[in-house]
Amino acid sequence: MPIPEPLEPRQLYTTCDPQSFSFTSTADLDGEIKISGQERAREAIRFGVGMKQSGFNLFALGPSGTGKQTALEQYLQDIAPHEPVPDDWCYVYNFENSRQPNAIALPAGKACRFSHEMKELVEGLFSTIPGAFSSEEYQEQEKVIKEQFSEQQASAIEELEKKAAEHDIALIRTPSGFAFAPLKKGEVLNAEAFMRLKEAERNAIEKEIANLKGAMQSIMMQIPKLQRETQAKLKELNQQVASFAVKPLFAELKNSYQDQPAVALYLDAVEKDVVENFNQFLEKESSSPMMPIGPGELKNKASQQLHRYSVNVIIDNSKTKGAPVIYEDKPSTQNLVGDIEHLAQMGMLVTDFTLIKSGALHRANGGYLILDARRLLLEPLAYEALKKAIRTRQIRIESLAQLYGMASTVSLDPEPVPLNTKIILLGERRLYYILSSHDPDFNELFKVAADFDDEMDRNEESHLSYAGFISSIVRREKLRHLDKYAVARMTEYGARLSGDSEKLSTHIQSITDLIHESNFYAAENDHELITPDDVKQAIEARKYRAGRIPGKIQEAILRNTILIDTESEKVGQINGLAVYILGDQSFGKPSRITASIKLGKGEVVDIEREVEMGGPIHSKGVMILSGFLGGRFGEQQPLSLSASLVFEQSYGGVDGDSASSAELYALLSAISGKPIQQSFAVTGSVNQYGEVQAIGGVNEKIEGFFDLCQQRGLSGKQGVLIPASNVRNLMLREDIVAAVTEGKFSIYPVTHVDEGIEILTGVPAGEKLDDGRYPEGTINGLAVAKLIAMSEKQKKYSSKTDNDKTPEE
Amino acid sequence: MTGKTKTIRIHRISVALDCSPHSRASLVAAAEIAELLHAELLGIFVEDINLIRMAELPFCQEIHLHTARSEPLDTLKLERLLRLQAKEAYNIFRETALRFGVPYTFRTLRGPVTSEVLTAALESDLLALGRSGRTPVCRKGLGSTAKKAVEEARPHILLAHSDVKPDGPILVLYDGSRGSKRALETACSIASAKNTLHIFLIANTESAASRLREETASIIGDRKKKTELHVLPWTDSAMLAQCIHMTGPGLVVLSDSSEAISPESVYRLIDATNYPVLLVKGTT
Repeated sequence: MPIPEPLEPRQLYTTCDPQSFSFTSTADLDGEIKISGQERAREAIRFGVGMKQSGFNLFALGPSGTGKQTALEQYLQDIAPHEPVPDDWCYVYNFENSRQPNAIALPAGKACRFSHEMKELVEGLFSTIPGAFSSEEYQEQEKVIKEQFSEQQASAIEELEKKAAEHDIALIRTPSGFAFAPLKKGEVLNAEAFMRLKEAERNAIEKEIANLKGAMQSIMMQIPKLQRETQAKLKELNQQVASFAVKPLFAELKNSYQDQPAVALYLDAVEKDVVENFNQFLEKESSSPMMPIGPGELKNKASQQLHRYSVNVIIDNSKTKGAPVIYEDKPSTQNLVGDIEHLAQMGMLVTDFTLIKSGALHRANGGYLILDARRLLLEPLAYEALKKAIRTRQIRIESLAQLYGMASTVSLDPEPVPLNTKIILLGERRLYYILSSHDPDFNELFKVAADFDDEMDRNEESHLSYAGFISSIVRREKLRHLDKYAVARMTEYGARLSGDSEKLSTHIQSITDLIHESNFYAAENDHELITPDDVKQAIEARKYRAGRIPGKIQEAILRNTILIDTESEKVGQINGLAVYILGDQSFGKPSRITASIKLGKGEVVDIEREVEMGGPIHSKGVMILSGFLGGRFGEQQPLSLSASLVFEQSYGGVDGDSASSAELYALLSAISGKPIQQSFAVTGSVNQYGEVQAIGGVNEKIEGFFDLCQQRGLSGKQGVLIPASNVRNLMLREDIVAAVTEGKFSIYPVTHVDEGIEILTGVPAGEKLDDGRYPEGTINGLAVAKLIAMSEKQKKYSSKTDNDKTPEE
Repeated sequence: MTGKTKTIRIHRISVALDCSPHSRASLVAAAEIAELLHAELLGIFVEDINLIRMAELPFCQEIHLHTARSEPLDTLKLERLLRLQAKEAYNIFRETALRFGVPYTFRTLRGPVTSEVLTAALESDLLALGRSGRTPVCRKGLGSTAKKAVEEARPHILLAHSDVKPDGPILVLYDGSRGSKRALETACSIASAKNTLHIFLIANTESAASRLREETASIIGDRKKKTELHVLPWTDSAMLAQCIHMTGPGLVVLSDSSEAISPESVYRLIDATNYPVLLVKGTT
């Protein structure tokens, strides 16, 4: 098998040609934000937003920073202004059931006007009603009614008094009532004089007084009835006067809202209530119409009464243009569905309809509400409240405290507001799939998924699109513009971010951050435009800032605290490559992998797995090696070896199968006895047929080994074996490309382990001959010979142990 | 009309109290005048001897006002009730006197109410009492004690009414007689800046009316009073009462020694006018 040639420098870094740009700097571009490479997501957004049926809400999924929110807001900014402005909403007092305030919808901008007009109406009532009741006409009528009562009462008693006087009996007022007593010469007869009367006279007097007493009691029994009648007459009069006085005020207001049946009904109820409770406008306590009757004015009974006529405008769309687009940064239950606030008053918590607060759902009603899914799920009960609102298509304000019985105060049950809002959730893919799998409601309520890709194809068109995007960021953030060379550099960085020379990262946040950082260095370097040097400086500075841990590891290797050989040849020892991810930074590090063999039953022992430091993918990779060895060498004789593999000086866990090819090389070296050149490092997974497969983080791995070699001095022999399928992922650093160009460092694309082992040992792997043997002196030939020898030893050892056994056995 | 007219001199005002709304109004009116004229107040509460006598009768029963139930009323119970009433009257009286900052004396008497009140009032310059007492039948007109006081009492009489506010107008009948001059002078002295003086000039000719106008202007002098003059050609009490009612509720100040109006007409006028009245007593 011919060994592959080292990669050409051009294969290590795919440049973006600045000359392909027709502009000189981003200032020449229009700066319009165009999200490229998200066609699938864009189509999903268009569909989800356009579908007006229930349940067609949207979940925009993708890694954070890929511009989900930007794309959505951009799309909605285009369409929302052309949609109708939704209604205003207000809460008013329910005169039939004060615990259930009524919600009233009014055309946009009219709710505040209505609230103001109600305030004016109340102020007007303070002058109108007292005016009506202080008129001479009213007072005269009131006096007549009262006088009528007095006269009726007085005339009945007077008549009785006259009747008593005819019998020389007086009606006398006692401290708590009335009594009758016999008179003589205008004075009450005393007991002595009375006893001096003849018995017949005394009896006659007593009889007459008894009669009078009965008559008096009859009269007094009639008094409450007369009082009730009088009260009824007075009430009727008062209501007639009040009704007549307030009617013009209400008629004017009703006329303004005749096309709003809900308002007309409410005004009817207010008018009725005002007429019934006209006294509140006469009381001195509340006689100041200027006294505010806003929230919190629950000081006394009178102001509480007047509070009822307030209008609590919870949604005012007077300044809204088109459909509202709301992004709720803190989607707590209260912030979503609204809240009923309470006031502490005399040690109690009290509330009323003016303390009802709107939520994001109210504000977004008739438009769009964008929420971060993770934040939503972190807020207690918020997700459930949102689902309930979508399912029932109404916003019901429920207090959490009431729901959990934490507060036993009397609260409100406001009338729900009909909901017509498109809900858009933003979240990571994992979150979407978890919700989709575990929440039965989710797929019903969020039927449209807009999947945002984190990379896009790299071509000239996308280069230009990237440039446009950079321009828009620069304009939005008011930064320096980039010259076209810096744009090219930035585009190359986008490819590096995606880990693919044929793709560009759509992680907008990272690009934006780099522009900001480059702008900083451009300012420091006194550049009018951001240049490629500024971009390079920003990238290097970023690497330097995050370079403490890679630096420490490098230092440990250079001090031989961590043993990594880059010069000699060793049997069963190889340099593997691992990637470490710390926060948003990743870096490569070489690790020594060793293999040793002994007599055994053909198993490969993964020491990492034995001590539970190896992950399942790593264990799988090692088991594949057993399969490879069995397939290649186990056809003719049993594998009588036991091999053990270990990542030397590994104190943390190991996972992934990117080291499986390195482990196989180490095994082949150990079995064949041929040393591996330690100037190489290897990455790539392998299958049972020995084919080398692609791995991730190839750039970081190469850079990690290159840095070590550079520190020790590049000898020209050093290099890295990578899977050939990873060549398209290469976007290596400038210094590596330079070293390769100068022949100081090599990168070999490997498709099969037989190629790799030849590069590493300098000995051909050896192809299988027709008779099933491998050529002598090749790696495979040597391995077979070794295995045969081990098999023989195994046999001998087995027969010896059999002979040692007693004949009886 | 010769000589200089003087206002009535009031050093002590007697107030007859029975805890009725009218008597409370009379107490307040009396206290206001006492404060204005630096007079002292004498409170009078009379334990009605007729009540006590009635309670001694073996068959006496009281019918309760709010329940219409009847139960025997004995002397002990009655006396206890009267003591309570007297105490209440004293408390109201004391509180009012202190509020207006006037010196006061309070007496509880026992006997026939009218004669006791009139006798006690002999020591005073003004007797203030409610237009009617506590019986409902007396509400329309004057009560028996008030009627007697108007006709027989020596001091001037103030009959108060619970429905009339103190800052209302003051209505004075003026016919040029000495008595009516004193009444006008008195009205001027008790009128505050808020009160409007309505002066009814009793004159059946324009020249007489003109003369009376000049006289009233002379009596008012440079005292800045809001005044309105009304010329009335009648002396009949019914017509006068109607005119007074048309002017509005207020304190009516008049003299019982008017030349144009007989004392009987004055009494009838007081009876027919359902307003508070200050009757200035004196000879022509």
